[in-house]
Amino acid sequence: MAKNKKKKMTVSPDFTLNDDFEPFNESDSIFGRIKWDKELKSYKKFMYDKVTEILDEDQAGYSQIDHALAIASWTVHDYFRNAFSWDKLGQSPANIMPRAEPEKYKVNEKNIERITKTIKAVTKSFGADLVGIAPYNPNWVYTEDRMGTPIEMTEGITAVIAIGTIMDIDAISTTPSMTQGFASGMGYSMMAFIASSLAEFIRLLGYNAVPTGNDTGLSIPIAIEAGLGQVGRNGLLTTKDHGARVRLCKVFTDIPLQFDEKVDFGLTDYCRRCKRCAEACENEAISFDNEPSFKIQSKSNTKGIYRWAVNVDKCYDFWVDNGGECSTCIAVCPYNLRDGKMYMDPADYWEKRISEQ
Amino acid sequence: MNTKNLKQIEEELFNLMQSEISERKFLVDSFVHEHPSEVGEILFTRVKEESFVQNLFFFPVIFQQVLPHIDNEFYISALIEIVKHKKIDPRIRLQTTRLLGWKKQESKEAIPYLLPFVDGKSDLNQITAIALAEIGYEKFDELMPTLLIALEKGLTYLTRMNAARMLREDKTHLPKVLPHLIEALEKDNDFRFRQKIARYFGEINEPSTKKALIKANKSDKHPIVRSVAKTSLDDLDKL
Repeated sequence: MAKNKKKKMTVSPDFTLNDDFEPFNESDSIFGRIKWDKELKSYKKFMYDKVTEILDEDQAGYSQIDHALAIASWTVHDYFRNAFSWDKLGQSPANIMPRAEPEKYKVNEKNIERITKTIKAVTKSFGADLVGIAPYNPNWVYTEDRMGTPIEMTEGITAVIAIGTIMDIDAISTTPSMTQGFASGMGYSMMAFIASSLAEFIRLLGYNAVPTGNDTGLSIPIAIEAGLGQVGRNGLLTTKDHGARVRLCKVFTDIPLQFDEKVDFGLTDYCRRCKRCAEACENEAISFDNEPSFKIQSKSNTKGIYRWAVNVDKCYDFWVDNGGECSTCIAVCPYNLRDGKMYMDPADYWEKRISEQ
Repeated sequence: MNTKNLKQIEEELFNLMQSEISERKFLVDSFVHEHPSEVGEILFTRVKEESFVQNLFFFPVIFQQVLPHIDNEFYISALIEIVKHKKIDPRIRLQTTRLLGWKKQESKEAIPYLLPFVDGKSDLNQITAIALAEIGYEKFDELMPTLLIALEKGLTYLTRMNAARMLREDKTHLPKVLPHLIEALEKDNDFRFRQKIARYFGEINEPSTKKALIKANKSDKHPIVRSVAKTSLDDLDKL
């Protein structure tokens, strides 16, 4: 008689989902909850609330210059309102010449490989460092956005193009300083530029494209299914070559494309034996548990996924006290250290940048 | 797995490790990931040899790329075999001890081999005390003196933070530990460590810690410590 073998539970690239799994509601994300969850310690506390009292011209990394750099780096993301438009952008308000409207570009079995490679090449031409393509999986699409509006994905979507941009290694190494915020902000602005440009490229071929940043769906599982990496103890997408020092966005589309294979470079076992990120975390938001589990640490964790859940409430509490984001768990990860350094004094960061001029 | 195959794997592993030492390509881990059981068996055997463990060139590769990927069956056993060596380089012992600590109770068989290294003031002594506390060594009192030295004089801020974390977890000793944590908040030279202690104090409703937080909020030289101290004072007010 065959033994009833217990199913092996895996963290990634294959996910183990429990019966209580349901797609995430973005209003439960920490940035949604700060507006409605009165039980949250940081309810109605915003990341820049304490900036004026934190700024200190005598403290490298926390000067007005550092803060200005961090905030300014978000400009394209924050002010390019159409970047994440679900509709074709159409006629440019800055260009009086009407656009041509060619017929739908034909993709068939013969040219699907070529068009897939072309899409990847175009994505990288727009500034991406990593590109992978996953089949569309509704599990990762939010049920509602941060404002509570239901999300209904465009009909006929078959693929998601996952895009990664590598963040500035020196800036990340100045974590948790405000200087480090520049790396995140640049990543977000790059997201807006790349995703919007790629979406418009696909639309000009006659197909639908939905460019998204952190909105609409969970970028990490999508990136994993597109073969960009695995998820680590710190809850972030971790790539073999750059660790978690990547910023993610994605474009949902119906143009026929070939899918990438998922990658497994042994990260889960590595994280089972490494607790550098948990030790270094500024607010002990990362689990010290030996084994992953279905335990959640915060209302902002998606339920029913086997992994090390991060206490994002604690993570955000530190961001508020820090006057900006933190990248400590990214910086200390051995996979980041493959081509990086763990810590750089913000004063040295500026000296290096200025001396290059 | 027959002997010939294991031998071939060993040869290939060592060739890769040799080339890894001269040009960092991070290829060893992919190889180990493909042969976790065989490499585990090879490593478990080789770490018993004095000459192998004394080879300092191999160890960065072993720590970063081999040990994280071998089968569970061999992992802790291999670490214990490494710490069993009496003349091992302190750097290798230190790193191995840290890995054992991270595995908590799963490393309990290592306790007898770690205990001789607790007493003293070196970084190794401190890391050993932290690891034993992580593993759950039942005589916590014996670790206290070294943990307090680690809290005050740990070579890196991470050592000092880990000592604080272990000391804080043991609630029975908190009255004895608090003055040392207060001193660390006042005097430690790393703001990341000081902000963490300020955060801890937000959970302890004690007049002495509240006084320390007021002082940190007013006069700490780093804005983040002042900021966290303010949050902790607000937290205490809500208790």
